[in-house]
Amino acid sequence: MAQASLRRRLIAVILGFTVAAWLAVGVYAFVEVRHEAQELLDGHLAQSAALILAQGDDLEEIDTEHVPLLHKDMRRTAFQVWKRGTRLRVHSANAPDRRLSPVEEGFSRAVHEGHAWRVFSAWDEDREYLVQVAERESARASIVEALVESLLWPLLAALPLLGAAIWLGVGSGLRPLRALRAELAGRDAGSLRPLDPASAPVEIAPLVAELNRLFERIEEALARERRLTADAAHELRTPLAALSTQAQVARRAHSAAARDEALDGIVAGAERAARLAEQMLTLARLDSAQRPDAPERVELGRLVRDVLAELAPAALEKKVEVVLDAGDEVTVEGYPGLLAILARNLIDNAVRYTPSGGHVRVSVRAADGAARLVVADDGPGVPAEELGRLGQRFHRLAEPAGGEAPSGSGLGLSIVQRIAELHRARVAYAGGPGGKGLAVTVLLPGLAGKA
Amino acid sequence: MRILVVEDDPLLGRGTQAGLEQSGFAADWVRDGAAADAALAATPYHAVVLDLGLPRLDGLALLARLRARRDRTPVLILTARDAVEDRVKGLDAGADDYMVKPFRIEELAARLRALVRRAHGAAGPALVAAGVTLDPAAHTVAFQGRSVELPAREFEVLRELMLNAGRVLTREHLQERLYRWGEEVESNAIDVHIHHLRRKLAPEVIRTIRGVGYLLPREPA
Repeated sequence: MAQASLRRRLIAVILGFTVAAWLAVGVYAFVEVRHEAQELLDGHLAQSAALILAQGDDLEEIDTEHVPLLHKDMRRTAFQVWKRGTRLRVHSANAPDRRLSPVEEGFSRAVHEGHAWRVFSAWDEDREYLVQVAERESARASIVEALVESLLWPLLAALPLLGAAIWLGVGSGLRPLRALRAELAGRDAGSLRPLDPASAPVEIAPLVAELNRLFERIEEALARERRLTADAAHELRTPLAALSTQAQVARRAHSAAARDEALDGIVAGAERAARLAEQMLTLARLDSAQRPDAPERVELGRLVRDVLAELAPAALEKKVEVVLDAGDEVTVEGYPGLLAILARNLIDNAVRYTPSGGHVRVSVRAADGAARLVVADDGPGVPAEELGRLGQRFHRLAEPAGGEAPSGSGLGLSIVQRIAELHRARVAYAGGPGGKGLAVTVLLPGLAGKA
Repeated sequence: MRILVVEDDPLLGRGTQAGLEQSGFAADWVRDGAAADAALAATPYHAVVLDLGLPRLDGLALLARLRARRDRTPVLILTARDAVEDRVKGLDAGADDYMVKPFRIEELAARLRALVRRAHGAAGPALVAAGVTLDPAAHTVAFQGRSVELPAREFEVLRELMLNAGRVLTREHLQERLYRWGEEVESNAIDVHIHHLRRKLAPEVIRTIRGVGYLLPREPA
């Protein structure tokens, strides 16, 4: 499933952070402003109280009925002057007849007619007059509210605009990606030409570079595949052509002997085609194999001995002497079926390429934590420059000078190589003992110790 | 006609050789490029059937070497590689024809006959000289309108002379062009064939150039 839209995620993140930051600012401002406003207004209250007290004895003369309403907000403030704290002398129009607050010194809070008031009380020096100055708390709150509102409204207005801007910005920022997509969508499967990394912005350039590298690898794999297919076609056609040719020769033969020879050729050709098909199938299966099941403990010595027993009659018939040198038990972790194919291919190859009277020496040993399987022959060997190409698919050796060359499929060692890969084993090719022939060494890791 | 088959697959090589022999060719078979190079340097072949994927010396390399030393022997590439690029590469390297395996022996034989014919500058399938008409494909000969039956070897000698009408051919040349390696050849075999041909056609059709060889004139004597 595709990840959520990049654009939506960006908008959510940016808007979320913006709102959070703004709210934080709002809360901080609210607290600060409320505190500052409190102090400032308290100062005013105290100041007002002090002003009233400063009238001293004149307080008696103030005509309470004539304290004018100078400002509409004056309703929110009130004051009282009490003689000796008990007789109400002067008060503002909106002040009640009772004391604004029972507290006689400093700030206090009181409720009158459903309104909360902040009250400041003070005595004059002679404790003759008690002055109480009050202010509706709602007046203070409305100041803070107005301030916070003025902070929040722009945010509410800005959020959709910000969202739209991000939407557009991200959209235009993603344009190179869309162009890339269009370019890739327009391609057919075979088109692997590299993308132009210069046309991508810095953030996308690495992606383009990686894509190009991927294209290159796919191209290489495809070329390898094509070559392999061509080789396989070649290898399949040749025995079929031989079959067809021998059949035609048999049909046109004038003598029984010539016909028989051609018919023998057909039989041999069919056997070879079958063997080739078998090997190609094996290789195809191995190619798709990903270390099939759990490996088992395999006693390599016994496995090789069984394979040798199977191949010995053919070697005897060819007068090639086969010797097995497997002293101690060597047990590895591996796939017995595949290891048997590996051993069979190596030994079969050796017998095949060794002329009559030659020797094939097979040894199984433990060495440095690995099992070492060596198949050496004293046949014609392989020129040093060809050693590196052994194991390449369909690569066949030149016939030994003068000798009747064996007709392999050119796949045997490829199969060995692939099975070795599946066992994380190494295959090494070298000259045989005394520089004669060929010695193939397979180093299998995962020695399981003596069973 | 003598053909060199270059094919590394023993079964196919042997079969191609046998099939060509059945079609009336003298075919030699070698299994690698180096051996083919040596054979071509030593023996004049009418044509070469060449596989491409050869050990020791690759088919195309052999072809390049052949053309580099101005050897114009017609070469027919017979390979399992059927891709257009392979065909183009082969023909551009100097091959005269290209066939893909598997193949029919009849077609291979016909293409070889056509290659040899073209190499000798004849467009039609039948060779005509000195009143003799020889059809290599149908294996028929007529002299002055009269059909003449010829055994295979005599037919081959006559064809070689007609292919080279107006030119003197040595006894060795005829021998090399007629017999493959390892065949038992009597020292006077060619003379015997010539003798029989003169009897069946007319004595003056083949002239003896003393100490050099034989010649079939372009025009009737």
